[in-house]
Parts: sequence; structure tokens; C-alpha cells
Amino acid sequence: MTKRIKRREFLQTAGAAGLGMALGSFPWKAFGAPNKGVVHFGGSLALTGTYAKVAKMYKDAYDFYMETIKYKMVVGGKTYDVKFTLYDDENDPTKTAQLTEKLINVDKVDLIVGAYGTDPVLAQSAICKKYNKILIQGGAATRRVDEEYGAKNTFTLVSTGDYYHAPLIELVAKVNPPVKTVAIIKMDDPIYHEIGNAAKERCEKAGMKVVFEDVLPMNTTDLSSTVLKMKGMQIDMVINTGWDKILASFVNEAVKYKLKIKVLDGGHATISPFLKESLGKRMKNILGVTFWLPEAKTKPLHFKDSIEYGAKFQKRFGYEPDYHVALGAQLLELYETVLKGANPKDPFNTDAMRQALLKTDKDMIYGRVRFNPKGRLSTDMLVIQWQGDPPRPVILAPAKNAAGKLIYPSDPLAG
Amino acid sequence: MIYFILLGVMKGAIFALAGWGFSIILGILGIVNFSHGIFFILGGYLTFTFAKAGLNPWIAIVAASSLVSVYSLAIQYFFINRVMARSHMMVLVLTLGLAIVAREAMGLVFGYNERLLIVGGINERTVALFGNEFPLLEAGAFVLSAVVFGFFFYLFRYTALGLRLRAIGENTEIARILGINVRRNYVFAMLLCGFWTGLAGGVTIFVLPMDLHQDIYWTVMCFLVVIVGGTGNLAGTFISAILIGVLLFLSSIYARGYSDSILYILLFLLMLVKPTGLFPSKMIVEERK
Repeated sequence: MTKRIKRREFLQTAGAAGLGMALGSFPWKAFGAPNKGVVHFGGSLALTGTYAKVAKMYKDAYDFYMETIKYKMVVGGKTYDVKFTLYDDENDPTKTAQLTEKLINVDKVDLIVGAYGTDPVLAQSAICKKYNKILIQGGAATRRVDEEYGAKNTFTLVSTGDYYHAPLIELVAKVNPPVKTVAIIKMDDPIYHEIGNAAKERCEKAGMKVVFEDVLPMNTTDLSSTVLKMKGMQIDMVINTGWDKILASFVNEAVKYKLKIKVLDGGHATISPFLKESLGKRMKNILGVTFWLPEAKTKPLHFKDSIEYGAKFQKRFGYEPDYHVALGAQLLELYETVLKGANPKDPFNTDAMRQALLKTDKDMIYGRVRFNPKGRLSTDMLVIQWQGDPPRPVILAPAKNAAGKLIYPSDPLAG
Repeated sequence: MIYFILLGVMKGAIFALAGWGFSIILGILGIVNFSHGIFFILGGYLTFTFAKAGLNPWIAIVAASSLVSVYSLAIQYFFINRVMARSHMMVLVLTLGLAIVAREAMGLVFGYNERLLIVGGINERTVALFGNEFPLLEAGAFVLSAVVFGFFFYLFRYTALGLRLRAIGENTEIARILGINVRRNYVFAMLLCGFWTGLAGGVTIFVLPMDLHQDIYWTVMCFLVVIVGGTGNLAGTFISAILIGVLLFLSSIYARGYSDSILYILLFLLMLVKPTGLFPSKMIVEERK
């Protein structure tokens, strides 16, 4: 004999079940405190492949940061454990996009750190936009990031490529005897064209004449033909807008073929450890630009100054940190700063984080950190010249960081 | 123009140095060794490490090449010999896999930074030839490749080892019936390949910045040199390397950005007109007949 369920009982049971299911499926985490008291960072880098050397610097910076804060971070007044998940994207934008989705949907990370390289960062930005997540990155200088994602989801810690050589050209424009003729070495990639074209424009505005441009295929390592072509011209300054190995090959060939110039702008990679190790004393008198040097005496969150940071980092990893390392640390400093003042009930709220980042104006490891309305860092690049014996990078500009004066005229290929 | 052609000849000599090992392995073992570029890069990185540790640069090159030959011997003995009897296609996959593993292992050992060796003023020395100054290293590479060619000529024509290797290259089964230990001679061939390719890398680290991922480029270039020259012909490899060196250098002077396109278009045309390469060995020509 079956018992007949009354209409009232049925409605009560169904209502309770429906409420239970609704409560269970409600995204509590999105509106609550960090999951189980853990702040989960995630990201991907090209840990293998051509960009592995740069990726390693970022990874070391993350590891060093985590060790420094002992895997603890204050979020809205309460201390939480910190977890970091880092994947290898092999510099493949498709893989970067897939890994970013996995970080968000499977690993349930709270915060995302940027990849390295224009295409991976653009792919990552697209995924962060899809899931309305904040991304802080220092791996892509291209303006496309600003145009498509800037300050909506993506915040960028490097200047746009067109600004890279600006302070150096400004400095060189004032020297006497004047620099009249310029040669520009570019790599055949959109970002390097962006950097090279802007450098050309700035040189011409400063009254210098660009008499030679060489666009190198991306796999080029032999600069002998570039040097031989320059030899027949009267060139005062050479600007390298490409990688460090392009500069290494250029210097090697220029010394071999006895090229004479007055100024060599090695570009943004002039302080790379590879150049110091390979070129040694030949670095003397070479100029360059960088976002960061320990000697800039900036103020990291957890160290007295950048000199102490640089020394401790070198002791831990066996090499001098360059701006990539500082970028890695800066990403985490920014997140830490924003989270410290976050609403403890909803610390990862994207809108609140976006507003907090746009309002940031603070001295940190990278110097004064503040963003323009497009989510791009507004800061001065440092102009350096390798001076002394053995040569060391000396900051020439901006004035507030300057530790020496430009040695000019000097033979940058005499070392 | 003549000056640029001569410089191209010297640069081509480096392709010849790197390509002979590939040619020997293709001619004798009949396999395409996709880890060939690793021998080259390993030679460069070891030379750099030894020279930076204070060893005389020339001794560093020889020491590095010797170690590369030990590595090549090991992969032939432990891996390739075991697989090639079953399937040559598997050897292709095997050497590709070995290259990937070796590249990552080198990254862990040496780090991921590039290398360029500048020591003792060697890089900037020049020699006067035909009224022009030429870089000593590139000129030296040409002389060295001529010497190595002489070595191979003597080895394959006048020594018992050379004759055994040639016999294996002509017909493995008959060589085996004649009592030649084929597997052991494969190991000798790979050892020779490793030494000379490592030496090519050791010389190149003074001339060009090198990174761990260039092994693919060098494997492809060596393959190209051997295909253009005609497989199984060492003189053909030499001439082809020189021609490719001149072509690449002239195009980098006069048509920068199109060097690779020009090279591969010419290769395509050559394959249409003369698919056996410029100087094929008699064996291959007869096979085609």
C-alpha cells in the first residue's frame, strides 16, 4: 500500500531541496574571504624555450618574494598564507590562454601575474577580460595592450616601446661636439619596429639625421654585414633597439672591422648578465636605458632599499638582479599593497582592485609607481653608461638618480 | 664585391666544418641525425666554459671537441645502434627526442644565457690578404676546414678504418658478410662526427653569439649543405657550404631580410633541376639509374 504525499508536504520538501541546491551552488568564494585563508597567485612563463632565461629571472623574483614574506600576506587586516602556481607556457599564446583558463577555472587562483612577450600577454589579457580578472604584467610593452585591455583588466609596468630611447636621445642631443648622424638597428618584429621608429622620430626632432637603418630577421646573430655597411658612412651614433645578443654581435664585429663611432646606445638590454659576462671590458663607454638598477636606491616593501634587495637577491641566486627581477617583485608588491587595504569581506573584487590600482601613487621597488588612465606605468627610464675598470653601469639620468656624468667624447668600441 | 665574396667564402667554411659530420653520418649510417646541432652547440658551450676557467682557448676547443665526441659515441652506442636495426624512421624520432632532452639538460647545466667568447684579443685580430684585412678567426676557419677536408680525404682513401666505413656506406650487408663489425664502425663514424662538429661549435663561439636553441638552425643548415652538395660526397659538402656561405653573406649585404627566402628558392629550383644535389656520389647516381 503506498502512502499518498500531501500537496503541502510536497511543496515543503521541494522548497527545502531547492533552497539547499541554491545555497550550495552560490559562488560564495567570489563574495567572501580568501579560500581557506590562502591567497592563491597564478601565472605562466616561458620556462623552456628561447625566453627561458628571462622567465627564470621572473621566477627567481617570485620565489625570492615568497621567501621574504615567508608565504604570508596581510589581506584587509588579516594575515593569510600565500600559494603560487606557475606553469610553463613555452611562449605559445594559445597555451598561455589555455593555462590562464585553467588557473581561473580549475586552480581557482585569486590573482594573476603577467606572462612574458607581446602575444602571450595579449592572450592572457583576453582571458582575464573574459572572466573579469585583474592582470598586472611587465612582459609586453606594445600599445596594443593599452588599446584593448588597458586599465579595464590589464595594468602594465613597463613604458610603451616608443618611449624606450627617449631619455637617452634627450641626453645625447645636448653633447658637444654634437651627434649629427645616427644608424638604427631594428629587429623584424612589430614591437622592435615600434621602438625603432620612435627612436628615429626623436633623433630627427633633436636635429640628428638618421642615415642608416638595418632591419634584422629575428634569427640573425651575425652583424658583420651591418658593420661593413656602416663602415662606408660617417656615423656618430648607433642605436640598438633589439636584443642583447644583437648588441654583443655588433660590438664583436665592430671591433673586428675597426668601426669608429662616438656613441653606442645599446638599448634596454644593455645591463643583461650575458653582455657583462661576454663583452667584459668592452662594455666600457656603452650607453643604455633600463627601468631599474639597484643603484637607483628605490624602496622595496620588505627591504631598506634596492641596494639591500640587490645584494640579498644576488646572495640567494648567484647573479645580479636586473629590471626583469625588479618587475617580478613589483608585480607582487602591487598586489600586496592593494590587498592590504582591501575590503576583508570581498578582497578580490575586480572593480575595487582596479580603482585601487588607478589610485596607487607610492614609492616601491620600481621607483614611484602610478598608472596613467590606460593602466600604464608612468615612470622615468634610467639612462646608464658603463664606466670604470671593470666597467659598471652608472646612472646618468634622471637627475634625481644620477650617480655620474656622461663621458663624452669617448670611443664606445675601444674597450 | 670581391671582398664580400671572400668573406662569404670564409663564413661558408664554418658551415663546411659543421656539415661534414652530418654528411658522414648520412652517407655511412644512412640516417638523418636531428641531434647534430646539439654537438655543435655543446662544443661551443664547453669551449666557452673551459676558456673562462682559464684554459688556453685553442686547448679549450680541442678539449671541448673531445668531450663532444665522447657524448656522440655514447648516444650511438647506447641509443642509435639499438634502434637503427629496426627502423630508420624510429632513428629520426629518437635523434629528435635526444636533441630536446639534451637541450633542456644543457639549460640546467649551463643556464639559459647566450654565450660569446671574447678572450685574449683573438676576436679582433686580422690578416692581410689580397690587399684587404680579413678577420683572423674567419680566415682561420677556412684554413681549418681545408685541413679537415684533407684529413677526411686521407682517412677515407688510405686508411683501413676509412675503407671499412666506405664499404659499410656502399652496402652494409656485404660489409657484414666480409667480416666488418658494422655496429662498432658506426660508433667510430659517430665519434668522428662528434669531434669535428664540436670543433666547429668551438670555433664559432668566438665569432657569433650562441644560444641553446640554435641547434635546430645548425641541424637544418648542415642538412641543407649536404643536400645541395650531394649526399655522400665530402668535396661536394665543402663546395656547397662555401656557395651557401657566399650566398647568405651577399644577400645580407644587398638584400637583408630576404637571405633565407633567396636560399630556399634556389634550393627548390636546384631540387627541380638536379635532385641528387650538385655533386652526388657515384653510388647515388647509379641507384637512381
